[in-house]
Amino acid sequence: MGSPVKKIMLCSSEKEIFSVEEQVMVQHSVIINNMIEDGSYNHEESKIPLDCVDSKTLKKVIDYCTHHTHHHNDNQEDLEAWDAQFLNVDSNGLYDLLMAANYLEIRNLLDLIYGTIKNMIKGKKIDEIRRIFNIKDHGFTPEEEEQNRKEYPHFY
Amino acid sequence: MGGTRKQRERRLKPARGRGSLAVLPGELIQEILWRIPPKDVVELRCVCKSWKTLISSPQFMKALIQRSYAHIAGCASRAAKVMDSISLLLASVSDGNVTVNDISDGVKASMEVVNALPLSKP
Repeated sequence: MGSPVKKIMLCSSEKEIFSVEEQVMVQHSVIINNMIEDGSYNHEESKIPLDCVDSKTLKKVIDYCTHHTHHHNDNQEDLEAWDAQFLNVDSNGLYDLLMAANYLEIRNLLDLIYGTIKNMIKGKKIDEIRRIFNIKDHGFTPEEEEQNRKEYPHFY
Repeated sequence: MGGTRKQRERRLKPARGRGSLAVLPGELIQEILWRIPPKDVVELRCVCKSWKTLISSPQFMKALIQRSYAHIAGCASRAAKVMDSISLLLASVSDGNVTVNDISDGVKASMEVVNALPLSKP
């Protein structure tokens, strides 16, 4: 039998502890990989505190990393379908995932989220984009806004 | 090492206010914006002042050009491979060791590569 799977502990902002296969997180998160490599994680007593990641988001991030570790040989279509289902969340959920992926430096998840947000704004009119990003005050004077409208009429 | 730790601690701070995409830091907005084709990104300057400042900054424009360059270089290198394989096909026609089926398959494969070149988006 092989040696038991090495685990690490992650602690959410609600102080909930998640035990995850070390290899899964090391493979995906640059930050965790660095912590293991430079010895700042002690397997006996360390928990990695993720004060800016709530439990719900952390669970999703762990799901993502686990799936992509164990299914990386799946065909591209299946993985894309899984990713699409995974990112079927509201914009608050997307925001939380983006902040978590950015903090943990999970590059493939970041690319996935950026690509999704890019598609959300593709071909949209300006009001819709302002709504998606919840931009209430665009900061332009009425004259500037009028000038922009003249320059890009199809965008309004 | 110290720098790394400092960076880590800075990153540990919870984001100001939770929630919508409105509070995304500029560096993350930038990541989204430079995935958008240059021809579409110009009009996004009208969305708000902070996007305008970001998109008009020399750093952003430089990154946009670098991305477009890498994309076009990638297309060019794939196109060059297609040309090579077509030249090979032509050479084997002159040698007389090629069947009509080979030609049909070769041309089909080349066309697939050409059609897959996403020329309009970076």
